[in-house]
Amino acid sequence: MSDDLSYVGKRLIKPDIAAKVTGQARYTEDMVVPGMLEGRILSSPHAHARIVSIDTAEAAALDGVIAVVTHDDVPPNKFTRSTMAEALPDFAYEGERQDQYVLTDKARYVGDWIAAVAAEDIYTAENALDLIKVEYEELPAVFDPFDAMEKGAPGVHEDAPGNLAFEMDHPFNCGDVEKAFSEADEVVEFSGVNSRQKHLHLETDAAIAWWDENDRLNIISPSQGPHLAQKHLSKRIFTDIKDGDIRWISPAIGGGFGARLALGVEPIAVVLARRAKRPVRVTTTREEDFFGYSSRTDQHQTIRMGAMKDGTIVGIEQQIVSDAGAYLSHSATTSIVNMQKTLGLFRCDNVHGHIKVAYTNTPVTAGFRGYGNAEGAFVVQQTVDKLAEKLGIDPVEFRLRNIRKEGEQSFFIPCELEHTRLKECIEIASERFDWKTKWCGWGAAKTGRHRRGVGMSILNHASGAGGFLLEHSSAAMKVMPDGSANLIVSPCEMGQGILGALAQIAAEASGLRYEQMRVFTGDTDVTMFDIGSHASRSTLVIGNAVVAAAQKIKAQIQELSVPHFEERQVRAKPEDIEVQAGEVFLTSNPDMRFDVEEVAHAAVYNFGADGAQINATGSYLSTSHHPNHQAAFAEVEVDTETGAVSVVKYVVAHDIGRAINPQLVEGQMEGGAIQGLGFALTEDFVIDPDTGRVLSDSLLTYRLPTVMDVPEMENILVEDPSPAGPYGAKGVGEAGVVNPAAAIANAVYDAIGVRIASLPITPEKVLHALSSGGRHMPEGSSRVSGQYL
Amino acid sequence: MGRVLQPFEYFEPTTLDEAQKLAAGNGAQYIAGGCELVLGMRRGTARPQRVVSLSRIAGLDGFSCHPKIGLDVGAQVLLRVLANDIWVAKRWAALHEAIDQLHPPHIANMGTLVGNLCCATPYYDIPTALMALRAELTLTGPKGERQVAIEDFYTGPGATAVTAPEVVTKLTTPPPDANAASAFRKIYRTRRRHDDLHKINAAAYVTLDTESDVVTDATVVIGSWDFKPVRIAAAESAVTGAPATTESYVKAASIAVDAMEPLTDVAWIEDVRAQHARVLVRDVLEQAASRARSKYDPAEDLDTIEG
Amino acid sequence: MTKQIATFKVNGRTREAIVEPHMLLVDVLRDHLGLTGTKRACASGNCGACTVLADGIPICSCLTLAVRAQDRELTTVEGLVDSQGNLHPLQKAFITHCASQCGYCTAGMLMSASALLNADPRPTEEDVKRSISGNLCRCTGYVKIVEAILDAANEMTDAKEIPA
Ligand SMILES: Cc1cc2nc3c(=O)[nH]c(=O)nc-3n(C[C@H](O)[C@H](O)[C@H](O)COP(=O)(O)OP(=O)(O)OC[C@H]3O[C@@H](n4cnc5c(N)ncnc54)[C@H](O)[C@@H]3O)c2cc1C
Repeated sequence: MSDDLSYVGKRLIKPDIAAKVTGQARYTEDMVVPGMLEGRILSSPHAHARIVSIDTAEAAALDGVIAVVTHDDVPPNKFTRSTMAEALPDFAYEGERQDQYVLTDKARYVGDWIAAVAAEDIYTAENALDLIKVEYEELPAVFDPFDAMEKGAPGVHEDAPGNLAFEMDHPFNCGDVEKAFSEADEVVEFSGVNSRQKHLHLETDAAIAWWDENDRLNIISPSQGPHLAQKHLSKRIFTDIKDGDIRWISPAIGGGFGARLALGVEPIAVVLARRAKRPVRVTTTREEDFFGYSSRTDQHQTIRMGAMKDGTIVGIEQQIVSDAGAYLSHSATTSIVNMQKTLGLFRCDNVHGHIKVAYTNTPVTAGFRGYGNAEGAFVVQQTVDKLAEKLGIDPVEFRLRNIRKEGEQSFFIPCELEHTRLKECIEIASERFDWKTKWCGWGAAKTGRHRRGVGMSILNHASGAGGFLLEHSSAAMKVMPDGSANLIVSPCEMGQGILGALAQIAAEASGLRYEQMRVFTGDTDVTMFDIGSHASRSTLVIGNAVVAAAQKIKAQIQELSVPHFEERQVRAKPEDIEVQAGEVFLTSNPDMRFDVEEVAHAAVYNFGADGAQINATGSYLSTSHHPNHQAAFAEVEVDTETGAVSVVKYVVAHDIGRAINPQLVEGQMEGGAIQGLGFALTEDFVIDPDTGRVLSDSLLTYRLPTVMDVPEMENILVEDPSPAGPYGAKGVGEAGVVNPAAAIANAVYDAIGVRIASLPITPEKVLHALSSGGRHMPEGSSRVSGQYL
Repeated sequence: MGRVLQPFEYFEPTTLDEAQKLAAGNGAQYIAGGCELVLGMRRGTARPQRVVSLSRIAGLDGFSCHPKIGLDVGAQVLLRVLANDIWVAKRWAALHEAIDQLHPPHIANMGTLVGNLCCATPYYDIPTALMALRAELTLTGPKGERQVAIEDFYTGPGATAVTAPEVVTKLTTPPPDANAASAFRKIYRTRRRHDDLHKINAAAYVTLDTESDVVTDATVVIGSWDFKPVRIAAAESAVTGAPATTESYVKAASIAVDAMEPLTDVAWIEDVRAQHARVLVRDVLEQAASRARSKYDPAEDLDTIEG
Repeated sequence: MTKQIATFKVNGRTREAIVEPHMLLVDVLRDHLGLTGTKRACASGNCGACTVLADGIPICSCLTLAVRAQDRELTTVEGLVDSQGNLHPLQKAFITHCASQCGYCTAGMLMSASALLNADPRPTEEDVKRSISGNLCRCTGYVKIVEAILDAANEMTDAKEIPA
């Protein structure tokens, strides 16, 4: 796509990459504040235990130890790690139960935070942890979300009877599903569960906190939404601190994927810094990340779907039981979003969704790229295929018949679907994949040790959650006397390249040069309120705010250029003047041009009455979800003797609206696909059903895809500008991770004729499915994460 | 389990004698390549008061590999040395494959072969391959040397025949028979119980009578199923004397698997482990025999390139 | 105490630091020598983020005691630029291919790849993949990283083949 654009649509180098390849980029753990202490956390070895006593005397007496804190030293206020509460309307807010303390009063999972230490150096800090004596009284524990809701199950929280953390009907339930099912020609049901995929951002969690000379609290941490975090911290935990009294800096982030939308060790750093009256840096290890941190929420789902003979879907029902782990965090909201996406993908008048979220004595789960959508897709896309098979319809055809069209009702929030190219995505990707040749029809018999199969999956995802979240953003720009510009915006750069995309938009809309655009972000003292980088929102929502500011800049340049043309004996009105790529010229006579520097310089070094630097702010409020879409096709080979599944080919097409920078979009798609491949096949977060301990506690047992696992891939951008996005752009950050598991699961079915009901699709599940003909739950298995078959 | 290690004394002796004096007390541990010990110290599974380096001791860096003489690997020899050796690749294929599949490859640049054996970690690969290749370790103590066969080296979970302050000075294997070859394979699996392991592997060594295509000698080993690799005599005798056919290997694999004890008390987990082991044992026998028959091994191509 | 002044040869320079035997190379590089480009991500030898070269060979600085690295020529990501400060061809290729997203794996990737290119200036795609098979990346899906390394290899051999 080119149009007449200078920067948008081009593969330009993103501004933060040079520092990353030279090792100069600064991440939280690379920063040192003078006088800084090292903080470390003691966590519980038991899944459920009353803390009878803690003796910190010996630790505190150790030379070099400055502070030791326990539950008694933290604010008596409950909060939740998810910061989204501050961005949600009331009806959804209930799902953000405030249910934990900075340091716990009772151990609720192996890894729960019990105490913390700040010392002059890390060696002393760790030595001190060993000297803290905790007497525990072990309590009966529960690890299975269904068991947890049984009568008489051990209670994880005193104020959550039946361990029910959250329950709700989908707010947009409509029609009558039972009636629809009774009238349908075919109804199918499928149950399955996703795994607790770990974010596995390579940078382990860390935070630095200190009070500066102006008595303001400074925090440096890899937050994906420092403004929300600032509000959350002050409103829920440290109620004596106002949000304006906190300066939150979010530097280069070593991977986010949604994990950094929850508070990590920041509150502990604050407690320690306050106690020690010194800056404190709290760091964590990979093992602690496995034990104590967030992962995807395992959502057990049963989906029923009915259709008429002609392939029209008439009813969809989804029942979700999610396992929050010991604290709620994002688990309820991701379940809500799962329903929104799952029930909203197809045109259907009878829809019913219901969620229950249970507490268990297992690590906290949270939001992860795809936020409910990846969890849902694995189950719903298999249900769709099951129904298509019953009806004898090609899965591509079946989906094409039922997807929503432009102008129809959108399901995210009740409003019109203003733009979709899902149909084109399905058609283009199936063509490139060669679906017509590769798919041999339902029930095609495959034999031999190695069996090939093909499968597909489609999705709709939000580009920001307007109408649901607090979706507004503001940007500021100033033009320096040399014609360069500073752009102040509030996304978080976790690698997705958002700084580059926004700089391209700013340069395009203002007429300034991309190479001279400096982007500032990640400092709540400087940037304006914004809910952070997640929900595939930054390009659309923040991008539109940038357009608003940049257009004002351009207008000012046009206005201020008039006298410069006059000096050249040309009379021009502002509307006759164009500003593009750092040059000002006459639309009617493009040879009449000069560098924007001339205007920018004159604006500042102007002793007259109208002297002022060129500057502007712009804001945008998104009121809809502006869905982006994707269609994916996978070909797999199953070794029926070992159960191993390998992906041979993966083709995906994404409805991007317009790619501000195609290279960055491809990066999101490729990265998402491989993360999705891990979700599908190898990443297994396993909890010991006897002790509640995480068994996959290292990268040896929790296996991430390596470069050797990358299949032949094709990532296709379907570009057709949407009316809402900046230059027509829509989001792409999350979509890539959603389809792979679903498409692969359908392909595995095509290969072996048995459906796998839980992720990841590991060899033992395939072998078990083959030998049992697909019956789930053999003797000795349970619904504890990683144990379900 | 920390972010850093806790303090210890550190020594770099230059003679074996000196090293053994330093290591004589309680709480001392040797360090060779160090990757295992350092990880253990950080994760809190090893807490030595004193660490004695084997790196500067003269005479422990010997490495020789000859198809007619055998393999001889000193305590300082890094895995990468073996990974790059053409004879190891050609005639000790099981060992080559186990090293080649080490993940991540950095480990071959840091760890020693002998260190890998001394770890006594149940799920490592190299011990399985070396058991199939009938390796022997030389242990040197203050009172002199003794030879221990690799089957007798592992004495219990995490324990070896080494009694402090003994040092394993080298590892040797006999030369493979002219009509013999070996193979190694592994499968990653999910660790589902605390007593479960995340991997399973197998290795075999097979000698053929090339005229009659009958197996005349075999070693069959299953690893990452018990605290040590297990050599299964019943399977070996079943396949010895049998025609070199898939049928014989399938039978031997079944016998091998039946000889193993379950790791966990969960039936379906054990069913899958058994199935994986059956496939692995059959495949390594098949591959070893096929190599023996054709004298082909993965390094053949390399050889032609080098002319 | 067993504090000692240790001497390191890093990126062609000799540097001194006060260390103790239990200190890890990754921590000494980062905290004592200010070379924070090397990252600690798993500290177990499984992810490759802490990869540095010792005598040209990739090792995990998280599994190496600093005192034992004293007699070796160490290279970190900071040492990839030449003495005039020009970026290494690999660094340039990573930039043009956008082969770095969050950047946390990047230093390790570059070090593993540079060891490969030093040993084998004309690697195949398979060689490239094997060389970084111990370096995990959670962001990129590896596609652009492999492209960048192959591209840098071409650049480097092309550059060498131009007659002086
Ligand atoms: C991340 C990672 C992945 C790995 N992956 C694999 C894999 O896939 N397959 C596989 O088979 N292995 C694997 N390994 C194991 C690896 O090969 C060993 O850790 C390594 O070879 C050990 O050798 P070292 O020289 O580093 O031992 P060190 O750490 O120096 O020593 C290990 C132990 O052995 C003792 N020791 C060492 N040498 C002697 C000696 N000569 N005499 C007496 N005692 C001695 C030490 O006291 C110490 O207790 C992996 C290791 C790591 C860290």
